[in-house]
Amino acid sequence: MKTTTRKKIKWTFFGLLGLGFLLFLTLVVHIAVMVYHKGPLPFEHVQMARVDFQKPLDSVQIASLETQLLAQKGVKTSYFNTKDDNLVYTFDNRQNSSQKIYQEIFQSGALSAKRYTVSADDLAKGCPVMNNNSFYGKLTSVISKAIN
Amino acid sequence: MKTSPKIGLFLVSFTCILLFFSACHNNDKDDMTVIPSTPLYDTLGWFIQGAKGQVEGQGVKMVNDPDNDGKQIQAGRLAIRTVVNKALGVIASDNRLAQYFPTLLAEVGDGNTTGLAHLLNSFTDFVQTAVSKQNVYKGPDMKTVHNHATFARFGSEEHPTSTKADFDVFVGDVAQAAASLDVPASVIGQLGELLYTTEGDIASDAN
Repeated sequence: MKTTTRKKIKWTFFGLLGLGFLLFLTLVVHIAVMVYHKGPLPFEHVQMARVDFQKPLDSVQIASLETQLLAQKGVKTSYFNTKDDNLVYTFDNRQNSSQKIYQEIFQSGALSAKRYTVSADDLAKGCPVMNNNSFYGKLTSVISKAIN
Repeated sequence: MKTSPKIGLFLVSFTCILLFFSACHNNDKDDMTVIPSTPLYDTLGWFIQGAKGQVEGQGVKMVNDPDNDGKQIQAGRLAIRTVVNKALGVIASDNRLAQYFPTLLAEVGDGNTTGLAHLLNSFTDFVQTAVSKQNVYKGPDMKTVHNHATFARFGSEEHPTSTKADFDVFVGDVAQAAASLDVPASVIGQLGELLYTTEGDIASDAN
């Protein structure tokens, strides 16, 4: 009696383990099919950053700032919004960081510029697109690197 | 009696294997024989190649991707991606909208794929699907993700859905981006109309 119960438990255990493994394998194959030959995304390392100005800038100041900004290493585009008084720019995140760019150009007191940062609370809301730190996100990037 | 659990187990694993091989049916292959296109997609494809007007076949024509070395891209998709890329900059700078897209301005570590790259890709997929009738967008539907009740990340208990006013701002930003790229007004009008077809799913107070 005891041995049959133990056997049953053993079979159930291996059955569930096998089922779990098959389901996991299915997930891996599906991700592989999805990412196969996709290669890296265009603009993969292009990061967007924003600086807010507390007082409006005149067109001469804006032009000079944008020239300085575009001369920074890795900076690609710059867009000044005169309605909301802020500057949005993009840069290659392998070559530079928004912290360094801010220190280099915007930090001087005369501009009264503030670096726009996203709080953890905000990041938990809004359009997620894809969370790279989730289990699924990590698995996808591992598989993508393995097969591409 | 003794063998029945084993038979059961065998059947279960057999079913699993069967499901494993049959579940992954690739529908995309059927679509690849003739790639769908529309006059608007052709116009966009022709536009990004530096010309104006609608010429059949220019939407799906493969051209070199200026932002992805050695890769090719459909001209229509390249046009859409160019507009979306510009629009995301306008959205990130717009105080009324930036909060809805935190991923755009979130810092990521050196060399990691950015939120901009992900959003640009999925947003381009979405617009390309709407414009060209190609089935490239695989994300969740708009109605589900624009309601706090069905998608916890969106809004809050007090403001579970977005409004028509928010949506107008969004379309306005996309139109502004397209105009700054010299996209013809008639094309922007058609893109706007297409975007407004999703308004009913996104804005709760839409007619």
